[in-house]
Amino acid sequence: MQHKNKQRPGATLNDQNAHAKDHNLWSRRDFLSMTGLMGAGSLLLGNLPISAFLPTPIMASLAGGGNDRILVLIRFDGGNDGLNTIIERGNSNYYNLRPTLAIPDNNLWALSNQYGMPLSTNALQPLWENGMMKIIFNVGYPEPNYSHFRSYDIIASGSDSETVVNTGWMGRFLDNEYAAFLEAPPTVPPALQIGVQTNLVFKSDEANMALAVSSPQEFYQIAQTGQLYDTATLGNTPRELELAFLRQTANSAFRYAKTIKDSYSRGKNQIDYPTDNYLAEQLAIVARLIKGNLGTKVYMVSIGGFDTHAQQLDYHKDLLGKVANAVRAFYDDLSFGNSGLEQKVLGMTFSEFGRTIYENASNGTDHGWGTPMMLFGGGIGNGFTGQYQDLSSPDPYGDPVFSVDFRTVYSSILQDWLGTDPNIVNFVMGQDNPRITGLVPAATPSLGDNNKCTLLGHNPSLAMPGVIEIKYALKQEGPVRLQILDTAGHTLRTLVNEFKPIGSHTFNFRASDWYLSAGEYQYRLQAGGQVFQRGIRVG
Amino acid sequence: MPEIGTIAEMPSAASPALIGNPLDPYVPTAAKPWNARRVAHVYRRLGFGASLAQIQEGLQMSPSDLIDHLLNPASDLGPPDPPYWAGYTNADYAADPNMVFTHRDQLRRQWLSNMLTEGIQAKMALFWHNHFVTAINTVGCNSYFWDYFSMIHEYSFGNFRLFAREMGKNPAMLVYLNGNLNVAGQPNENYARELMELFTMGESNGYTQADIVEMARALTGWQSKDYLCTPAYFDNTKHDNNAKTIFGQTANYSFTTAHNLIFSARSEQVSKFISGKIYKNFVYQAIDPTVVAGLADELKSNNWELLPTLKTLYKSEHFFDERIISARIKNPVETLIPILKMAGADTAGPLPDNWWDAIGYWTYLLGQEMFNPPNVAGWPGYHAWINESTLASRWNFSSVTSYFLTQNDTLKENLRSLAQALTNDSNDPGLITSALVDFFTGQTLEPIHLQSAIINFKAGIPENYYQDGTWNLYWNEAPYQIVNLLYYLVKLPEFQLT
Repeated sequence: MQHKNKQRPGATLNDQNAHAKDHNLWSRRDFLSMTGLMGAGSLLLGNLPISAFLPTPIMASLAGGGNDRILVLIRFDGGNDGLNTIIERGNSNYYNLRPTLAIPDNNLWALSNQYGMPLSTNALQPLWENGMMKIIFNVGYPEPNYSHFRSYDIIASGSDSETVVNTGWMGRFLDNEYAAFLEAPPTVPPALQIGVQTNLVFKSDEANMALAVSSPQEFYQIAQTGQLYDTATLGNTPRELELAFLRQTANSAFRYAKTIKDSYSRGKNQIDYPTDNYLAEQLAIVARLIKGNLGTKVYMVSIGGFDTHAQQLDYHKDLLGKVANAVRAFYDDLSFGNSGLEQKVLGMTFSEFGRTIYENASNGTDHGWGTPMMLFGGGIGNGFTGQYQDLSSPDPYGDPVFSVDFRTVYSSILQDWLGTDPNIVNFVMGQDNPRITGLVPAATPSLGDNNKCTLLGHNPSLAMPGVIEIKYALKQEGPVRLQILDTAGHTLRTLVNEFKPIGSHTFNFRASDWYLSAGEYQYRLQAGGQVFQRGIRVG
Repeated sequence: MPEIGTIAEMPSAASPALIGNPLDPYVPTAAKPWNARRVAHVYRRLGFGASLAQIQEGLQMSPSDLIDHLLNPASDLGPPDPPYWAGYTNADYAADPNMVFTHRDQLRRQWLSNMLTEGIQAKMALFWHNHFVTAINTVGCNSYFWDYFSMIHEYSFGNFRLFAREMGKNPAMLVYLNGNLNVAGQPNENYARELMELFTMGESNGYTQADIVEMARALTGWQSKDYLCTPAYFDNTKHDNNAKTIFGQTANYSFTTAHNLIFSARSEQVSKFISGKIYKNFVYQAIDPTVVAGLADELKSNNWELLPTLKTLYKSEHFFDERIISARIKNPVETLIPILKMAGADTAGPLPDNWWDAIGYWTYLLGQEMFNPPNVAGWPGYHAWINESTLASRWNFSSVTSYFLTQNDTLKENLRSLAQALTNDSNDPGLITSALVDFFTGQTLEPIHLQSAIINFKAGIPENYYQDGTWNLYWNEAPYQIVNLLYYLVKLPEFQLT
């Protein structure tokens, strides 16, 4: 990987024309991939057939699937300045590159002898010292794209820089977790996102797995009343009578409202969250839902303002301070009364890119390359992963090469935190990324130990030439999906997608019945919250 | 026999005593001003919405002039130009029977496209399609259905008495309600019954079973050979040439004189029934009896001419009543077509066939398959359009229709110009969102939903670009941001009202 040795025209606000060009670049991509094409509104799960609204036994059994670990994604919107987030203490290059922006050592709290964070973030110090915080240096991807939108898409989809992928990494993961999402949607939203419109992260090929609520205010309306649209205050005029009818129907189409309201009522915030802090407001909601056992596996919250092209110093410190205060409050709340809940919730910050290592003429920084990620959670330990930016580049416009590919972080979290089978991780990520061993505690019991479903294996049928018998056993009734994939992991056929009773089951697979020719394939069994994947040869 | 239900009346709480005749011409006042909101109301109810240019044009006219401006050309338009296959018989399709379906698709596309470009006439024709119902899947012959399609346009604003009479001879109707099986000595009552029950008088409203049998005898003789798809014709040998007793009056009624009898002996019932249906379709589901009675009088005194009657309604104080505006539940085509119309797609040149095919398919999925109403009573409409499933599908299909706007450079620029014209080229996202919400929904949102609308309009562009004034409507993103806002708006319950 080489330095990018030319200035990115337009990455700075100083140059209005070039900056406008930068935004033109945003439009070159399909803008709508950001918005999820079919319309990212507040009721994303409305795109479902009528059966989706009927409670079924399948839905009930799905709600309890998988392990009980939770992932909270914290998005820094706008491109976070890594160099002023994690400071390499005493690095003269840093102070030379940033004559006005560099934070002096006496304004830092020490992560170690070598690194520190701005004092505004000292709410994080106990998390660090108690082994609840990790830092991954200089995260990025090859051939960086300096458009906010495009880069966010790359980060959200897990794609290469040059590849447009219209599904998100979490969407693909959840598609595996909730195999029959469209046919038998779960009673809880698999993912819940508050306060941000862009949702590519959660989009899978078949459905948008996230419930997105546009604002905390809309969320409070749901949480407090169990409905998104108010029907109580309408009067008796013809228009109001019809509006009441439509609102009632919309509210009942909005299937998750009651589940959310119930969890929100059960869960309580047990500490005071900082006020005037948008991230804290969102995390307080998340904490209540987690404590109320909503059962949602993935949450996303976001905080904007990181596009610090001008007058950045105090503003950025304050912004990070808000992050720190919000995250600290969130974990204090989760661990309140020694609940142990903080052990089950992993927080992960991310941003679409970092910023230039040099400061610009407006006392700000422009779009750059790598940026740190932070992980939070009980029992994850503390420490650093990856290499800090090399600030010794002679080229003032060069961005130091990134150190950790964000996809290795995703893969590690999917595998170790969420307990996903390594093959499935590769399937979800579209490639076999290296794993960062020990980044987060491996899931225990690891996937498959629950034995709600056991893959008994496959063998050629003796009675029926050309048939391969695929056998599995269920210890609990539930949905089963059996699919044939090619060796690259693309789904070719769905053999079984139905609710099965307890007991042993055999599927007689004859490739010609499914118009598949001879060759190497894989089959994937999803049942009991587990996924099994095996190679087979069709002769 | 299909149920058409009872005619509900508007709840009395919603009908405060009106001073004067509610059908008196609307005179704008400070409390009831002639403004963009009421101009948009006219366009939405009479047609399929308006572009900003049309609203601005309307504002320059008096309410009465605007109604004339819209209805006169629509009523002069006449039937659409016949396609080359308008007279095709089965023999013409023998070489390539699949063309039957190709031509139906063409016609459906044409109609949906007319809703965009000739909205006022198409809306009226759609009303009559749902009144004098036939279904192309039952009729079978394309030429018959074309004949019918042409007729519902030709008479849209014409004379209802002649319309009802001619409809009975239409080959599509002869097939659909078995008029061609109704012959002397073997009367088939089907058409006679629906003529009275659904097309003119209303159920059990001034006729007996004996009247139906006798009416059927009078209507005998009109034939259509649907196995050939050749034109309809009158066969005097199949006409019952004996005396019939209808409504207690005995004569040797012919097809024409029997129809005349309905309109003379039962003018009260017919005028009220038709006026009620017009009211429900263009004003509100729960009828106002005073208004409907007044309309019925208009229809009679105008010798069943529809145009002056409709003008009286549309120019009335009642039609512009605050309580009526945005009180109708949209049918599926009213849900989708105005999204294009409000973006000025009617003047953007022909739109791709696959857009119309998609929209036609979606209205089918939403319960309104053009040319195939569910039965002779038509689409029941109103609340029957809406349940959890169809509502969620409306969100989806409305979103994709909004997405279409990004796929055409003219429409994209129209959106940008629209936002600029509405806000004097503001760069304040809150102000722009409010103006667009007002334009696209015609209604005021509650604060939390307006806030969400603004977030959707901002579309993830970092906040600092708004705060420091860098962002403006000239950005390439702006049209996409408006579409992103539409994605949110089309999911609001308010959006289903028109």
